Amino acid sequence: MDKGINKQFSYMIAMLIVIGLGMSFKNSTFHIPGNQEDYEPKQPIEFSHQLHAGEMEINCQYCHFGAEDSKHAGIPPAIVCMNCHKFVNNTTNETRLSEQETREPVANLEISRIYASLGIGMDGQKKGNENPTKWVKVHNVPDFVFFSHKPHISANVDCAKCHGDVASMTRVKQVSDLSMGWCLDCHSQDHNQLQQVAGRTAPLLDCASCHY
Amino acid sequence: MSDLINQYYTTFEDKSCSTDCSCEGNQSDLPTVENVEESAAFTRRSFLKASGFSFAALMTACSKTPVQKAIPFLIQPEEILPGKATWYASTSFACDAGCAVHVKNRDGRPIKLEGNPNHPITQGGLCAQCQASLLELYDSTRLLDPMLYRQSSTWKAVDSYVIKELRKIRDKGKEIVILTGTVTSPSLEFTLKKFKKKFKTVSHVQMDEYSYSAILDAHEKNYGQRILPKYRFDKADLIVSIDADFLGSWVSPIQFTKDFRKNRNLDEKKISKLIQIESRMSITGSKADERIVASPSEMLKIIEDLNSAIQGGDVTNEYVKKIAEDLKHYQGNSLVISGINDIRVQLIINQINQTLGNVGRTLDIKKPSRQFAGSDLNIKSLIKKMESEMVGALLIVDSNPAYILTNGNNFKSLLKKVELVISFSDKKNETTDLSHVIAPTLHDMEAWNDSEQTAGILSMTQPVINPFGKNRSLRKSLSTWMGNSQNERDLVRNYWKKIFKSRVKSSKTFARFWNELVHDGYTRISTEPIKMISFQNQSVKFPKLKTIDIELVLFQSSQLGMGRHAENPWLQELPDPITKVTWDNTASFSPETADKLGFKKGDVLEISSGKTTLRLPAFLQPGQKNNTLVTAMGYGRNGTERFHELGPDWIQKKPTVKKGETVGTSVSSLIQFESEIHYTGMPVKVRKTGETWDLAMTQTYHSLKNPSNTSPAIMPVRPFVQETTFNEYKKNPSSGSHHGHPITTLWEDDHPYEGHHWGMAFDLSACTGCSSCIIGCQVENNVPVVGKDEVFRKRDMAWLRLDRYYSGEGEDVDVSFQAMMCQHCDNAPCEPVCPVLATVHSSEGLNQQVYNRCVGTRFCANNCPYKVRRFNWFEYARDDMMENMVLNPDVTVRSRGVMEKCSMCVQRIQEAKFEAKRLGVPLKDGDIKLACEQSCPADAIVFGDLNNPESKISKMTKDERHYHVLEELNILPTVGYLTNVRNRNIDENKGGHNG
Repeated sequence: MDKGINKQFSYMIAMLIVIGLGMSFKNSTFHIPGNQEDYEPKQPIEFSHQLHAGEMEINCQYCHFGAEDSKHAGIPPAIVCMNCHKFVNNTTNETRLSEQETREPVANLEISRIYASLGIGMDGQKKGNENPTKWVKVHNVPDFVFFSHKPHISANVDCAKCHGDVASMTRVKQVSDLSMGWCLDCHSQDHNQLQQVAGRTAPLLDCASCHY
Repeated sequence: MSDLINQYYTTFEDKSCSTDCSCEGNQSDLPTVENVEESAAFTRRSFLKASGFSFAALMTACSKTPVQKAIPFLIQPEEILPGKATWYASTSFACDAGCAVHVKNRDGRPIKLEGNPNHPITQGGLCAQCQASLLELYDSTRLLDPMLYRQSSTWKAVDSYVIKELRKIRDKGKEIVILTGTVTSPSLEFTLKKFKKKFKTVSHVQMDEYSYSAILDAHEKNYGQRILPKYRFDKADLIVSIDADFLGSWVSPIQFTKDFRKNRNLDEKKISKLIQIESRMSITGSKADERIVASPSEMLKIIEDLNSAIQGGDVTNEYVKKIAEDLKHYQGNSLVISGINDIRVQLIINQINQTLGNVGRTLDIKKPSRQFAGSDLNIKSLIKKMESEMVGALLIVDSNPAYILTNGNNFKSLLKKVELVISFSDKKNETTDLSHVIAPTLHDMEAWNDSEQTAGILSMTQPVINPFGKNRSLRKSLSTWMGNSQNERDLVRNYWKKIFKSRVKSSKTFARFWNELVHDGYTRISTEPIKMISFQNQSVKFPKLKTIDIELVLFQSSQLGMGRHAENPWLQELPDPITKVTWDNTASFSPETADKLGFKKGDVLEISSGKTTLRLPAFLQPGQKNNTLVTAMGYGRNGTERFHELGPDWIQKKPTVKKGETVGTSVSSLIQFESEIHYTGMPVKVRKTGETWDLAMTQTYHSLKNPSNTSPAIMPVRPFVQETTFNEYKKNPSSGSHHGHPITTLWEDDHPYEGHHWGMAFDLSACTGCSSCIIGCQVENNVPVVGKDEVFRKRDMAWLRLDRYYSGEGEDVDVSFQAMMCQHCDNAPCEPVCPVLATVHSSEGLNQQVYNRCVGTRFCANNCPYKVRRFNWFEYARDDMMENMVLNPDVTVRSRGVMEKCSMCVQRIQEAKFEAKRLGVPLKDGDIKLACEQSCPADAIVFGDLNNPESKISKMTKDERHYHVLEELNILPTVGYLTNVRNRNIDENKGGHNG
C-alpha cells in the first residue's frame, strides 16, 4: 500500500471519529451511545402527567395497570382514557368549568384525538376509522436486558425511584440513564426495607437476573 | 476398571478405536477449520472491503438511537396483558395419535406448546412432532388462498365451481369419494354423513398414512367389531412386543410411554419387563429388558411357535419356550403386541392375548382407541374404482396418497382418471400438484375441532391465533357446499348442543359444558356399548419360509412421520434417536452384513426391488439383524428443495440439498401393497455404486472422552452410562454405580448457596430416547437451525443433546440414552478461563452465560469436559419474518461471535420467582418446570431446588442410583444421573456389563 492511500485513510478515520463524537454530544452533554438520559420526545397527544398524576392524583397503576403482573407497565388502551373522558370532554364538562377558559383550546384538541383514535366523534357517533395512537416510547433498555416491572411493584418500589417525579412533568422525560451501573446502585443496597418474600433471598446481583 | 469405559461406544466406526488412533471417533472435538483456499486469502481488495465495512459499522454505531413507537390496544381484551403469556388448552394433530396441549400465547402469537398434564390420554407428555408443528403455522410457503386449476382464486369462485361440478358428477351417477385420514371428530363425522345425504353418490374412505389395518381387521374377525384396542401398558407386567415400536412411533407413543413408565417405578420393588423382538434397532428395543433380533421372516415363525407353546404345544425353540412360560406365569397381566401389518400375525396375537386372559385387563376392547380406522381393503377397492373410472370426484383431506402409494398402482397416474380432484391441504405436496382444486385447510392453532381419540374422552382444539389467510376447515368447506353458512366455531358447537343430552350424562347446562370443555381441553362423555361377539378362533397358516438374501425393513420416521413434517427444519435437523443422522435417511445394515457385502458408511447403494431402483447412503447400525436393510420412510418429499438456501451464507458454504433435490430419498415405492400394505420382509437387491455421500451426524463429535494421558493411573475412569439389573438393584440399590472415590480439592468452599441451589437429575432408566426434549429446548430457547453442512462441520447449536451409547457385540447390542446439557458445575472449568467474565456463577448455582459480555474467545468451550457449549459461528439466517414470529420474546436471539449453552431455562426460573413474589408466597417444588422437563413423556428429567430437603430433586440426589458424569474431575456438576436399571436376569443376560 503506498503512502498516499495511507494518508487518505488516516484523514478518513480522524474525520469519522470527530463526526462520531460530535453526534454523541447532544445539548452539550456527553452521552455514550445508547444512553438516552434527558430524552423528552414530543408525543402525538400532548398528554400531561402533571395534570393527571399531579393535580388529579390518579394512581399510576390506574392507567399503567400492566405493571403489577407483567414485564411491561404498558400504555393504557384508549378505552381506559374514555373511562373519564367520556364525561370529561369539552362538551359535557361540568366539573372543571372554572379552569375551562385557560385550558379549553388544548384540552379540546387533545381529548378529541382520543376520540379520533377510537374512530368516534365527540358526540360518540362513529366517525372515520379506528387509528391507535402511536406513542413514542421514552424509557428503553437494550434488547439483551430483561427488565420486568412485576417484581419491582411487588417489592413496593416507588415508581418515581426510576421514572422521576412524573407527577410534575407535563411531558415525560427520562431522568435516569437506565444503565447497568445505575440499576446496581439500587440492587447492591440492603433490601431489608423492601417487601421480602419469606424463605428466600433475592439474587439481586446475578447476571442472569436480567441477562438471559 | 479402564475396560469399563471401552464397553460403551457411540458409532460402529469408533468402537475399535483406542485413544491414539486416528479413526473418526477420535478426531478432535473442536469444529474443523479447513485450509483457506488461495482465492479466499486476505488480499488487498478484501482488506479494503473489510475496512469499508468497519467504517460503515462505526457510522451506524454513532447514529442516533432509533425512535421506538409503542402502540396500545384501543380496547384491550380482558385476558390479554402485553408482556404476559396467556395459555389455552387445545389438541394438536401433528402426530398421528394427537397430543393434548397447552398453548403459550404471547401478545397474540402462539410461541410454545406444552403437554396438558390433566389430559387422560397423553397425561402431560408431548411428542417432538407436535411441539415442532408450531413452526409450520408460521411457514411462509403455506397456501393462504384457494386455488382453482393452479391459479390463486377466491372462495366464491371455488365454491360455485365445485358445487356445479359435484352436481354434474352426482347426476352422471359417478362416485364422489372423500379420502381422509382417520376421522376422530364426531362433528366432522356428522358433517360427512350430511354430505353423503346431500350428494347421494358419496363414499368415505379412511386411509392412515401408516397402516394399522391388520389389527383392526383381525379384531373384526375375532370379535365382530373393527376396532383398535386400547393398550394398557400401565397394567402389563410382561410385555412382548414383536416389531412394534410403541415407545417411538407405533399407534400412540406418548400415551404408551406415560403408561409404560407408570409400571417402571423402582420404588415399588416391582417393575414390568419388556421383551422386544425386532430386526431394526428401535427406541423401544433400546428400552427393552430383553431384546431378540430376528428377521421379518423369522418373526413369523417365532409368532407361530409362541402361539403353539402357549396353547400347550411343543416347540423346539428354547427362548420362545421360555417367553411362553413367562407369559403364562403373568396371565392376565401380560401383553403381546405386534406391529406387523399382516392379518395372519394379528389373528395369532389376538389368540395369544385371549388365551392369556389379557383381554379386558391389559387390552381394552370395550372402550377402544379410535385413533386409527383406516382399511387397506377400502383403499384397494378405491384404486380399482379409480382404474375403471368410476370415481368422478376425489376429495383428498390432509393426506398425501400420491407420495405414499407409489408402488404398483401408481396413485399419480390414477388421479388423472378422476374428473375433479380436490385437495384439502395448506401445503403444496405431491397430491396437490395433481389436484384441480386446492381448498387450503387451517393449522391446528387456527382451527376449531373436536376429537374422540379414545372412546369416552372428548378433546377440544381451539384457535389461538386468527387465521393467516382465508383458509377453511374441511367441515366448513363441506358445509358451505351444502348451503350451510355457520361459522367454524358454531359448526362444532351447535353439533354438541344438539347431541349434548345423549352423550353427556350430567346435570350441567350446555353453556357450562362447552365452557369447561374449551377451558380444560377435554371432557369425559358417555359411549354406547360396543356389541362384541365372543372370541371366534381363526386358524392361520403361514406359507413355508423362503430364504431371502436381504430383507427390507421400512419404518416410520419418528421425526417426520410419513413425510408430513418433511418441510419442518426443526424436525429435519433433529437427529434420529438411534443413528444420530440429520437431514437424511439411510440404508442401515448390521456391521457384519456390510462387511460381507463390502461397503462402509457413506457408500451410495443402489437398492432394487421389482421394478423400482433407488439410491441411499449406507449406514452401519450395531444391533441390527444381519442380512436386513433398514430405512426410514417419510423422506424425499417434494418441497424439501427449499432447504437449498438454508444455513449461514459464507464462502465455503455447501447447501443442505443440491439445487432441485429433496432431503433424503423416498422409499415409498418399496412399500408392498398386495391385499395389505406391507412394510417389512420384502426381498431387495443391493449394489454398490462407487459414489459416496456425506452423512451429517451428531455425536461423532462433542463426545465425552477422558484421555488416558490426563487421567492419572490412580484415578479410575468411570463409564458415563452406568447400568445395572433389577435383581442386582434389589439386593444393592447402588449397584452399577461407580462413585464414592476420595476427591481432594484445591477449591475453597466459599460458595454457600444460601437461597436456592438449582439442580437437575436425569433418570437413565426412564428415558426412552424420544427426543421430545430436544425440540422443547429448541423452541423455548430460540436455538437456530444450522443446516446439514454446519452439522457436518460439527457446529450444530442444540443446547440439549441426547447421547446414545451402544454396548455389546454383534446383533446383541444394548442402547442407553443420556441427555447432555450444561451441567452447571459448582467448580465450573469454563469460568476461570474466560478473559472477560462472560461466564460466571450465580448465587443460586447456575453457570450463567452473558451474551453481551462475550467476545468469542471460545476458551470456555475448550475447557468444558462435557462439550455442551455452542458457538455462534454465524449470524444464523433469520430472514423469514413469518418464522421469526415463533421466537420466544423472553430469550435473547444470540448474535454472531458469542458462546451459548443451556441456561436451565433461567427465564422460567425468573418468571416463577416474580409470580411467587407477587403472591407473597415462597416458591414451591414443581413451580418451575424446564422446557425439556415439561415435554418429557417419560418423566426422566427432574429440576428443582437442592436446598429444599422436601423437593423431588433432593430425594433423587440422595437416591443410591445417583451419580455424576466425570465425577472424578471434581467439578461438582449440579446435574446428576440415575443408573439405568434393566429388568433382566444376570445369568442369561447377554450384555452383562456391570454385574
